[in-house]
Amino acid sequence: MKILFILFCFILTPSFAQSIEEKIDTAIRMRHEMMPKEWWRSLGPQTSGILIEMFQKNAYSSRKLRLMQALAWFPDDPQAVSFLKDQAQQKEEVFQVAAIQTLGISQGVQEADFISSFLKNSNPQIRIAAAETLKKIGQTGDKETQKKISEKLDQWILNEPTDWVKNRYQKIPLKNLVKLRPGGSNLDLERLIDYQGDWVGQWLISQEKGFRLVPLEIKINKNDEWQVILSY
Amino acid sequence: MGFKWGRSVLLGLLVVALVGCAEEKNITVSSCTTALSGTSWIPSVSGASSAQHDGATTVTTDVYSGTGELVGLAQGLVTSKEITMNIDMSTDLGDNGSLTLDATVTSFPSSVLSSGSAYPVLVSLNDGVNELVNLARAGGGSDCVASGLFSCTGGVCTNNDQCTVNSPSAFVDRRHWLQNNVPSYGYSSTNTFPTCNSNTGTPTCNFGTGGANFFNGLGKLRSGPGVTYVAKYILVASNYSSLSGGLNATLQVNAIRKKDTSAVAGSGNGAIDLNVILVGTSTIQDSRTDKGKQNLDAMLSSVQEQFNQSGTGIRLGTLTSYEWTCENGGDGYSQVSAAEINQLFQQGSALLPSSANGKAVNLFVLSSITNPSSNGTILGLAGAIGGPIYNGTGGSGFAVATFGQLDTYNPNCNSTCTTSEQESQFRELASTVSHEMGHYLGLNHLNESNGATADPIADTPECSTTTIGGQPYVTVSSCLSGGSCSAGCSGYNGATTFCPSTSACQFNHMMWWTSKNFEEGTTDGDGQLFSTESSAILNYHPLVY
Repeated sequence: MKILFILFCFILTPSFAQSIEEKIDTAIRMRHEMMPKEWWRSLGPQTSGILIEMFQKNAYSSRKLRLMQALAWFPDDPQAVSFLKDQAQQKEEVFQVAAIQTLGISQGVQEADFISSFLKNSNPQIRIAAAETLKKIGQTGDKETQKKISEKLDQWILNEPTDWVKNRYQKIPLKNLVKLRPGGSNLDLERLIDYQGDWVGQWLISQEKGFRLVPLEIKINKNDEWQVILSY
Repeated sequence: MGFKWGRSVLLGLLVVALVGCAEEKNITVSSCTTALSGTSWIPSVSGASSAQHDGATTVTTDVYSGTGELVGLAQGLVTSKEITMNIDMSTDLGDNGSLTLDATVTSFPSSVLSSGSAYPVLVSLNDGVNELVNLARAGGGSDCVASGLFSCTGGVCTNNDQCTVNSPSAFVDRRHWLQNNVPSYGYSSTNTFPTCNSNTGTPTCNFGTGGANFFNGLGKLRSGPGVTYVAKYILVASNYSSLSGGLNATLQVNAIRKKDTSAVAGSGNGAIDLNVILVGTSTIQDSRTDKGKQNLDAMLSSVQEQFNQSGTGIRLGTLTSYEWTCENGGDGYSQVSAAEINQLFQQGSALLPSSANGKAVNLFVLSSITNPSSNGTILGLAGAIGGPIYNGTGGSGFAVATFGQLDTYNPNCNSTCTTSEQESQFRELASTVSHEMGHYLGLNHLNESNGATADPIADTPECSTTTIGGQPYVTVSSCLSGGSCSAGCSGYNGATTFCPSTSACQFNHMMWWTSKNFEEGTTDGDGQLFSTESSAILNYHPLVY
C-alpha cells in the first residue's frame, strides 16, 4: 500500500505542476490586468517555486517581471524572499524597482531595513522606489513601526539631492515647465527633399578671439544621404 | 577634410544648435545630473509621411460653450440642469463621415469644491429624427432622473443599473456610454458618432432610417443642408454624491466634423500623426543609441504594417519625437503607477507645443507601468476608449512600457531589421502600441477577460470561457477545448479570418485582451488584425484623416 501511495505521488506531481504552469502562462500574457492575490494563492503553496523556475526560463522581460511580482503573495516562502532580495541588487533598473516593491508587499516591516539601504542608492529611480515602498510599509504597521519609518524617511528627504524625487515623494505637482521641443520629425526629412543638390557656403567656427570662416560644402542626394565637406 | 554623416547626425547637430540658442525659463526641476549623450531620434519609417493623409477627407471644428449647474454623482440628471447646444451639421459629411463631441469643463468652482472636477456627460443627442443616446430619463421613477448615475452609500459609489440606455441607441449598453462620458482617466468626455453597428441584442443601433446599420455604405450619419443636431449635457461633479446651492460651471464643446466621401470604409483611410514622447533620462538615453533609433523605427514600421492591412488602410503620417527630460519632470514618470497615469497624460501632453494640439495622438514611451492593486506589470494603457482630440487632459494619449530595453532589443537585426530578425518580445511591444492605439481610436477588447462583456461590433468573435483558479477567463483554451477556433468563438467572420495555422485563435485580432503568442510560430500576418467594422470605427476618429 505504501509503495502504491508513493508511486501515485510520483505520477501525479509532475502533471499537477504542469497544470499550474499553464495557468500562470495565461496570467502573464495579459496586456492590462493582473490576477489578484486570491487567484495566485489559489494555485497552492508550491506556486512560488514554480514562479521562480518559470522566471529563469522565460525570455520576455514583461513576463519575467510578472512572475517576480507574483511572489508578493507568497510571503512564507524563504526561497522567494531570498530571490527577491537578490533581484533587488541586480543591474537592471526595472527589475530592481519591481523587486523592492514586491519585497515590501511580501515582507513589510521585516525587510524594512534591507529596503532602507536603497535610500542611499546612486540611482534616483531606486531611491524613490525604496522610499515609496517604505512609506506604504509604515502606513500598515503598528504605531511604533510607523514612527520609526516616518523618522527614517523624514531624515532621508532632508538630504535627498534630486528635486524630482522629492517632488514625487511629497506629491508636489510640477508647474511652470518649459514646453517640449521636437527632437525631430519625419516631416523634417520630407522638407529636406526640397534641398536636394550641392550647397556651398562657410562654416563659422568659434575661437578664443573671434570667429573663423571655413569653406563648407553639403551634398544632399535623393536618398536623404548627406555628405558634409569641411575644408580646413 | 571630408566626413560622410548620416542625416540624423546632422539634423541632431542643427537641433542641438537651436536648443542651445533658445532662452529657457521657469524650470522647476533642477539637480538633474545625468548628461545625455548622442543625438535625438528622428523618426524615419518607410511609407510614413504627411502625404499619406487622405485628400478627400476634411476635418472642421466648431466651438460651443455654455454654463450649467453641477450635480453630484447620485443626483438625478434632470432636464432643468441641461446645457443645450445646437450643432451645425449642414455639410454633407459623406458615407463615412463622423461627428466627435469633445467636451471639457473650463471653469470648475474649485474655491468651493476642493477636490476633483466635473464630467460633462452627454445625456442626449438628437439628429433631428433620431435620439442617438437615448438615456433612460423619462422620469418614470426608476431611471437616471430618479436616482442619477451612481448609487452612493458611506462614501462609496456603485453603478446605478436603473440609469441605463434604452433601445435604439448608439451605445449598446450603459457601460459603453459611460466609458466615453465618465472616463477612467481625466474629466473630458469624447463621443464619436457613429459608434456601433449592431442590429441585434438590446439595445440596438437600428434607428430605422438610412438603413439598419451605419457602416460600410449601408447607412450614414445624418447630415446635409438644414440638419442641426441638438446636444444636451449635464455636468457631474466627480467627487461629490450630491450638491446643493446652485454651483455653476462652464462647459466647452469642440464639435469636430469629419467629412469622408470615400465609398467604402477600410481602404485608403488616410493616415494618423503621432507625437512620440520619450519619458525620462533612461528611455531618452536608450533612444539616442543607434540600436534604440533602429528599434523605434522598427516598432513604428510594424505599427504601420498592422494598421495598413487590407481592409483597414490606415498609414502613419507625420511622426514627431519629443524628449521629456529630467529637467522637465520626465524622470518622475518613467516608472509610473497606473493610478498616476492620468497625471502623466495630463502633464506630458500639456508640455507639447500648441502647434501639436488636436492634430496627433500622443504615444508615451516609458520604462514600466505597474498596477498597484495587483502588483503587476502592465504592457500598455490608453487614456480612453475613443480618446480626446486635445492635449492637457488626463486621457490625452496612450503609454507603452519598454522595460528599459529600447537599446538592447533585437541584437540580431541587420540594417533593415525585418520582422523575422526581430525578437518575439519586441514584436509584442509593437503590437502593444497598435493595441493601445486601437483603444484610443475607439475600440474595446473583443471580449473582456471574464467573457461577460464583448465589444459592440457585430463582426468580431465572442468566445466562451475556461475556468482558471475558480474564475472564468477567455484564453487559448477557449479554442483548444473544441480543437478549433470556431468551437470556442462564434461570430468570427468566417472559418479562418481570425484563425492562424496554430490553435491560438484569439491572438489574431489586435484587440484581444491577451498578447499574441509569437513563440508558437504565429506572426503579424496571420489572419486579420482588425475586422471590417473595427476598421470603420478606427476610421471615424477625427485624428485619422
